[in-house]
Amino acid sequence: VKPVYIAGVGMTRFGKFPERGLGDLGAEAVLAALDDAGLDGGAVQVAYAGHARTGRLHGRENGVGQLVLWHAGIRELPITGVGNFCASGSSALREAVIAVLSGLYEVALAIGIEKLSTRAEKSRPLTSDGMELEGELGFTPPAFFALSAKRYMELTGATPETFALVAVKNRRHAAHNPYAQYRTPLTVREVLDAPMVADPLTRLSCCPTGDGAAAAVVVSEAAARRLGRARTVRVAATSLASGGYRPADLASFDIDVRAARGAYELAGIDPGDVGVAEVHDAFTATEVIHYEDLLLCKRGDGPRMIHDGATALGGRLPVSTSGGLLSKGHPLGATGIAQVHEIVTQLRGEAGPRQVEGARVGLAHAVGGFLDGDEASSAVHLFVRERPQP
Amino acid sequence: MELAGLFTVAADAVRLRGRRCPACGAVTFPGRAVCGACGCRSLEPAELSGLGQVHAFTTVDTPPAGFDRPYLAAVVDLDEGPRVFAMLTAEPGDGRRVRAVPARVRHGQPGFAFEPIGPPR
Repeated sequence: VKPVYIAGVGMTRFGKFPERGLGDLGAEAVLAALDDAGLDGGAVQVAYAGHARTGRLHGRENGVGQLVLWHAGIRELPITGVGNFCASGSSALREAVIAVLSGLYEVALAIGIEKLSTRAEKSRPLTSDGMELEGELGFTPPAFFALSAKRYMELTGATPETFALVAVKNRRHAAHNPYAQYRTPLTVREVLDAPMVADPLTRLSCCPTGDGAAAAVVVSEAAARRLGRARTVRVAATSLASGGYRPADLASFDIDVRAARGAYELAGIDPGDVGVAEVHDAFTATEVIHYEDLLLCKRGDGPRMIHDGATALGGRLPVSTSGGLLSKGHPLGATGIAQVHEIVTQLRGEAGPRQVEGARVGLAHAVGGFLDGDEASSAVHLFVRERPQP
Repeated sequence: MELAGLFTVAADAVRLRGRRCPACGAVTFPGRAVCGACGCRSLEPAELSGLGQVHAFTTVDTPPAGFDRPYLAAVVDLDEGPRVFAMLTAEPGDGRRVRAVPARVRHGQPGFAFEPIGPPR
């Protein structure tokens, strides 16, 4: 596989911005990414926009990419919307990477965006597309992952405290991230005592809803050379899986294992080489399950990873250094590209007080949707720093 | 969404309407045209017993719209193979065996839930 690079990243703060529009939010992220790459809008040859809920909430199921780029003053280029549940942003990135790999384009733009703050049904769990039947029977995403957490507890001895430690850790990380939605420190007691959503997940065990956008400029080797390679980060693998359906046990998701294996094999990278990771911590318990499914630790060692501090800043493998979905926030379509923003920032050595020293390989993982008792999509990307951190 | 086509009620028992593969025997619920196990394209209608075993269950305290109170939710492995997400009428006993029974679901519409069978916990 030919080398492909991230030349620039940009994002808005995540939070609740009901007064802002999709176009204006998205353009802020796009312009920040272009500035970061040292490019102007005219250099972009193709764009992909990931979004998952703009149809239902804003009457704009299609054309979000066009709207965002119109606001950014960019026109006359191929633009495609990418919908893939909470992995929409990751999938847009994947399309941009493949566009450059194809040789058709030198400079591609991946955009992720969502605006959830104006939704009705405040304090109700967000539903997931395509779950009409299950929704009639009581399904919600937190209920499903609470069942997963229950099975994981039965098999590994994890406790509600184990999971609460994830929320505490990610909030501690978010304190150092100016883009994060929630930055005030949390205690285990506060997480456990928050209103229950679905046992063992309390409100502080579930990611918030909010608004935000992120963008990444993906370039070929030739373009990277022209831009000067000092700050470019190589995309070592893009991997996307769909469900095998009816996983043997809800304590593990084979779809994530397949997505991860696909990425490691494509990159020729050993899971043990990953030095920093952003995983789909939509719920505290799922972050711990992801440690195992992404092969970042041995089967059954997930609880130890969090109890020992291995995944906290300063640990062996810091996870969710941005604050993760739990504290940075989870504007669905924006999430996958905001993860890339964090990994690129880390690998460049520009993460300030939340910097992971010496990280050379970064992993980003996003999961989306449900079908037949399984997750519907799982995306894993690997990134490699090719030069020493400054 | 209408649930009417998905199940039948006889006496107080709910039978689920799925499909069975004549080639490999795999059962799917809800029904679909092609077998997910072997690719056979001539699945036959199958009435599922509604009997199964709870894989996991929990209490949902923050319900979605259309559900007023906290409720028990579960994933149930049906004896015929499919896995179903549904509400439970009570906590399952030690063997976690359950059967489908008529129940009001979202917005009070008629549907089904699972009821524990065997000795209580």
